[in-house]
Amino acid sequence: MLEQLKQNKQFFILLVVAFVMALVLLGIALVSLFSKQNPPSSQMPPPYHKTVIGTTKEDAIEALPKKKNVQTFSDNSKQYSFTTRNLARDDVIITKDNTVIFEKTITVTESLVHPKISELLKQYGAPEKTVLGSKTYGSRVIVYIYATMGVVFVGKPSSGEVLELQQFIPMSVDEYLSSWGKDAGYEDPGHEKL
Amino acid sequence: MIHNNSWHKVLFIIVLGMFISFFIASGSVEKVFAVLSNKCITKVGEPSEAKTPGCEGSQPPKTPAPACPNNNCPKAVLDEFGITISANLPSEYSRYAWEKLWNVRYTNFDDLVRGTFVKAVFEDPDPENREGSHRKENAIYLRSIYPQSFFDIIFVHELSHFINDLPDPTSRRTDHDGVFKNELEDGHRGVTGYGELACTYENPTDNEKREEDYADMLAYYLNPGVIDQTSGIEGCNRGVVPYANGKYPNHFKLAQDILGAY
Repeated sequence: MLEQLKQNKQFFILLVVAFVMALVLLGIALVSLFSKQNPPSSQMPPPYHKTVIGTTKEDAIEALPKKKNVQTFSDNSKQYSFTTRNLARDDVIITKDNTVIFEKTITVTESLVHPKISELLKQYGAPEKTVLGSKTYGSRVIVYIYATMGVVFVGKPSSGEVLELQQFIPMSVDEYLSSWGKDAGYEDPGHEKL
Repeated sequence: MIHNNSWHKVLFIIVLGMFISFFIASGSVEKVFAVLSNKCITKVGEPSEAKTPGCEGSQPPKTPAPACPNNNCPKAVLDEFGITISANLPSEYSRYAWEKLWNVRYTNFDDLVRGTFVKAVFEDPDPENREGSHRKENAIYLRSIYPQSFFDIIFVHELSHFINDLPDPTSRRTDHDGVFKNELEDGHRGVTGYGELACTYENPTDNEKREEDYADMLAYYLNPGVIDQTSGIEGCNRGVVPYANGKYPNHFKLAQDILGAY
């Protein structure tokens, strides 16, 4: 066969070119298949939080992307707002004495994927308290409270989506409801009153 | 020993194989076959074609709905569109529903509300017997007094509340949050007066207004040229066609993205 190839130089070059082409196509096909089998990175669990409560300092927050505005209050606290994929709702970080004490994250990725309630329940276990409804999200959400862990999330059971995640310095459920949790709770019959 | 000719054949098969695997991997085969089989060409009686990915916009000419098969509109609506109409509603309602759903069959609307129920207000477990959508029962509740023109609006409006409750990105709820907040026409937020004011609520919240705007966004998209009238309350409607003269383009575009071309 080698002798035959040597005798036919033109055929040999053609064979090499075709083989290289075939390899390139195989490579493209494999890359394409691989990228189909794995979800895009935007569908992976998003990095919900930008800070570590009680640790992150204001200079680090100042450097975060998508910063929208900063409000300074007389008690030496600051509220930072950040734009999110939801153009009506901002991420919020609140500091006191230069350290983060509260962070609210709108948990939607650029491709409109939300984390699942079931995933967070698996992660955090049974909540210390659940509150039906929220002033921001209406009557059909549930606020899952893990106050002593410093975590709360708002979920929409009908779709299984988590809409918002909060982290803060751990406290009791009552303390949470009278401070960061004032938005929780809502009274509505569940349908419009036409 | 393989002859030169045989090598050519082997080579051809290898390259052909590579091309096929490349096309399969990139999903092009489906597109190629769609073109070859002319999937985007719509045919009467085959409503699913325009819903084929890549075929949106290939709408058939709008023709009047045919009569309900066997003159049984409740069955026709259930069989064709998966929506159960209560026998306690006026019999014309089933025909109205059939005609409206037939009319919008090339959009995603019927797929998104399949499995729902349309009931009379007195069937509502809520003792106040009000119109509206009740998520727990997967049902909408209607009064028995509507002319067809108003039925078309209220039917789509109430069922659209179920679409709003579907997950992102099907519902595009996150995008609607932004559109509702940021799109103003002559200082008015919300595609209709009802979406802006939610005036049938005692003390409407922003979320309730947003939800009503979502339902009206789809209701008037599927009822083009109709004056806003959802609430039926004077002072709550603007008395204008919501999307007339290119108004609320972001609402319109979002409705189009959710439901497909209409």
